[in-house]
Amino acid sequence: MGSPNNRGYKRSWRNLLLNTRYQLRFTLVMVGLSAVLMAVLGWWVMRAAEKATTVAMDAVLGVQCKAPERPGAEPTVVIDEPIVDPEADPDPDPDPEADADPDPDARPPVIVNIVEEKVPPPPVSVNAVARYHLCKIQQVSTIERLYRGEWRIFLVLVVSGLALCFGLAVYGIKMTHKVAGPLHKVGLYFAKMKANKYDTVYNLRKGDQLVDFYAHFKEAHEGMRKIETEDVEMLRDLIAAADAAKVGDSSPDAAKALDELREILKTKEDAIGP
Amino acid sequence: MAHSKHRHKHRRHLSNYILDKRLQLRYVAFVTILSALLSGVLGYLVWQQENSATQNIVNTLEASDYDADLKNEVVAELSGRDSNLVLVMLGAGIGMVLVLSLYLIVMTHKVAGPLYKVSKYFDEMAEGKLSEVWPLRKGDQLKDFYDKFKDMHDTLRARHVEEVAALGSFVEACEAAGIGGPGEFGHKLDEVKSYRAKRREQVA
Repeated sequence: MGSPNNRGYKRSWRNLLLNTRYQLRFTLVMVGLSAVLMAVLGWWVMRAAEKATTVAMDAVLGVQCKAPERPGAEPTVVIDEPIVDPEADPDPDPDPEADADPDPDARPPVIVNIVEEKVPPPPVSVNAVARYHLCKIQQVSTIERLYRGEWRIFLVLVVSGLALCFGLAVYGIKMTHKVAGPLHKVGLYFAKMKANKYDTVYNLRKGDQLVDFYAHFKEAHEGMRKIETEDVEMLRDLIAAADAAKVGDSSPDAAKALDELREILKTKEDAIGP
Repeated sequence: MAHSKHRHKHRRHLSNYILDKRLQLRYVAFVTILSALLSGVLGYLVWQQENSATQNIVNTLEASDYDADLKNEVVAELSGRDSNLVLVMLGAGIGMVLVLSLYLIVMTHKVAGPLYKVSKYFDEMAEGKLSEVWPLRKGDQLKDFYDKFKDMHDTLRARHVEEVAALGSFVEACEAAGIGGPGEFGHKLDEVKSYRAKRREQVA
């Protein structure tokens, strides 16, 4: 509970928009401006990120992973041991005329057994294979990391843009509410003053803005109330003196003016209360 | 214009844009911190990406058999680009803070301006004065609130003018009827006259 000058008003989300025009205009323009700035910044950031990603990818793909050298499995000719047939005719030519003069230097025929077979290549170095695959894996993972980085930037951009707009909207409404609240309160007192009611002016709620402004208003209210009080005192004295001097009996104009002063006095007494 | 001689022609000056420091700078501080935080995070991420690209190129270069001078030149160029990016990001952050802060100062000034004006009238009212209320400047906010204030002020002023007139009528009627003079009531009428003059001055 508040003190006599401090009524326990509590903030409620239902009355956050007290001065809709001022609050929404202020907040929406601020949010709109931030959204435009974020969009421009975001466009530039994404362009820079995309460029960086492309450059990095080109650099990664520009490196040729050294493939392990693996000789092909070529057919290999293997000559087996020659097989010499001792019983074979060294000159199998059936031409009898030729046999008439046999060559003394003629060698016995040799049967050559030619076997054609694929010989397995020499084993490739395990380290070379591992290096090759590691290089490829590194390339792929670097590219993936770059894409992930770009995607993360985009996500952060979208989330922070939304957070900025939402944060500014909430902050804008809340802050303008802290301004609109005192203004609303002062507006209610204005209506009372206009209706010639000078009630007690209560303090602002905790956290409200415009504390200095409100202090000025309180002084103004007090000043006007003081004038009303002085008027009441002056009119009471004047009417009492006029009644004592029987002014009403002396002149109808003075009597009429005195009645008017009595009405004014009554209004002023009602205005300041007991 | 009939009132042009008396009307105060307030113009916006750069020097009086901060009328209510507490109100205006609070907004600006909030937006500055938020924007700086945002630009910082985004800047760091972009820099990280750019740095990663640079590192890849540097790695490639180191593995190559290019001339050492050329390698150094390329590395220096890439480092320069990274630094430039940081500077551009810093510039973007500062730009964002500046634009938002300027908007907030202008907007809060448009709120603080009418409040400052009303406060001046309040000071007069505290002294019992009810001078004429002039309209707001073009572009000022809180028009509804100001209209309410003007309406109340005009009503009070009219009421006080009527009361001063009623007192005047009474004094004139008494004087016309020859009531007053040197007696007690005459003394009271003199008091009322000076009181009326004071009140008339207050609504001048």
